[in-house]
Amino acid sequence: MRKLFSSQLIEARHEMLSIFEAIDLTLHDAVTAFVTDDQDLARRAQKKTLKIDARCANLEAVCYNLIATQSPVASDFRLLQTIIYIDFNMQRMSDKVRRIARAAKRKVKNEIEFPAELVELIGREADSVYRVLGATAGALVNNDLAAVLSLSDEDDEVHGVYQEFFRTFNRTETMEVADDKQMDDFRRVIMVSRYLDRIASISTECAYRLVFLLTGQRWGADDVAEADEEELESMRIPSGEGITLDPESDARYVSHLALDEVGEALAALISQVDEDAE
Amino acid sequence: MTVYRNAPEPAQSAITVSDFNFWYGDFHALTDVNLNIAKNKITAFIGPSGCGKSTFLRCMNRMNDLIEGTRNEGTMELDGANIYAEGVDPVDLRRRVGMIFQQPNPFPKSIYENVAFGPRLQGVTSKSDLDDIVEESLKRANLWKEVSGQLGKDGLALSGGQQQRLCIARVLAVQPDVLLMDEPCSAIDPTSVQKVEDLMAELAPEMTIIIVTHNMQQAARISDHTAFFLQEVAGEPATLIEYGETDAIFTSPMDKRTEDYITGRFG
Repeated sequence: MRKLFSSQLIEARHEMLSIFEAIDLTLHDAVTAFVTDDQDLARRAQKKTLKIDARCANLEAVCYNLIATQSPVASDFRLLQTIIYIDFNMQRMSDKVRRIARAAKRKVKNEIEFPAELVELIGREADSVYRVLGATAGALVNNDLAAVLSLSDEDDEVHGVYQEFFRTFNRTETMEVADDKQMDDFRRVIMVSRYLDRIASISTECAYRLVFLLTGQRWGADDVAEADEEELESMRIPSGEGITLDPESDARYVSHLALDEVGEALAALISQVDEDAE
Repeated sequence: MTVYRNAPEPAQSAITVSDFNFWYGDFHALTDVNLNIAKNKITAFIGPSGCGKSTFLRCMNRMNDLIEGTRNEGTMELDGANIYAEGVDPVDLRRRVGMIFQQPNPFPKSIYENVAFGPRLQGVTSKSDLDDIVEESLKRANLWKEVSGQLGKDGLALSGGQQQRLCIARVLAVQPDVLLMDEPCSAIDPTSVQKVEDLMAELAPEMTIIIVTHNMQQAARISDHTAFFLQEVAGEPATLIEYGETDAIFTSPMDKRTEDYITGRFG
């Protein structure tokens, strides 16, 4: 029974990583659709988020079934708690990605004239968000506590562009807005910057949960901000099979992420996966 | 080296154990056990078969004295007094430290006589006093409602779960300070297990309870503190690996061996 349970834990962990990868790739599509006014791509991205939601719901059910039937303790329980937590947050991210895709559709459909400077800032902000998602994936695959520490800097970078976006928007000359509906459409479009900012923050929260998984300590952002790598490493406690799974194996489930967005350690693992596949 | 996780301090403890070693003849069964058992709390001993947890439990009321060739070193104190000191009467000790076994073992006597047996030995002779003790003990053991109309019935005629609660009532009748339970639920049905666990929770505020169990969920459910014992190498002595608050032991054990055991990956 424990062998079966171990394999079920590993499958759940792989599914979590695979969904995370799907969110990252779908975000790329949604942002590209927004920047390039590609309504078809936006529609496809929106549909993908619905599939992501269904996978998240299924993963949540799997985790609760394992809790009910296997009475997990210790690292098995921490892993399931972590997967459920990240699963919930992936649903939040998926929702934001869907809103970006909708905004992209609305922008084209309602012919909203968006200043090029703001579109360029959305692109820049998205690039920063991709790096946060990549760093989160790297931390999760490699059980890398040190990577968690650097994530707040990456998140700050996103937030910096987000603030710049709204500063720039405020300086932009007031646009001709015909009616309330057009105003509402415009408001939804400019919220894309906010959605991107939230995706980065939620991704960072997912990575912080790694501290609980590997140390048993429920640390929040403030605790992590005050810690150093040595302190975190000294807090590691023994891990079960679900946690100590080979990162090379885990990397297969995020292998479609862009290599220049995931950090060196995960990029090396993904390259190895690609070489093995050839 | 034992790992301690918010383990009870001596000042909070009913039993304190220091550098305790135990031998069955030439066989060194337990080595260097140091722990404090919190007063009026439930402590669970867990570990694979042969890890010395029942041996250690039986040391606490000197039941092992009855086995020829056993000896121990170190100290084991009950409320500050060494239970192995010269002059300590094991019979008197066992009144203060009662014990419940895996198999219910009522005497082949009536329900009433089973419960009244201990107090009679202690010199209680008044019928009304004995009646009060029997009723009170059966009530505390959550058995009174089921047997109050049939106290003359043979204790052995009760169900397994009722027999186990009768044994608990028999122990409670002599008002022990500590209750040792050696796998008390392994031979009874799930409904009776629930009743015994509820009973333990009700007794704990006024009694120190120590339970040996192979049921991880039971240990996690009912105990305040958990001690994990292990004999790593056959023929070598077992020892205490990790001890502390149950929540901590079952969610974030510090020792890999504890992690592997409670997650069911060995033992």
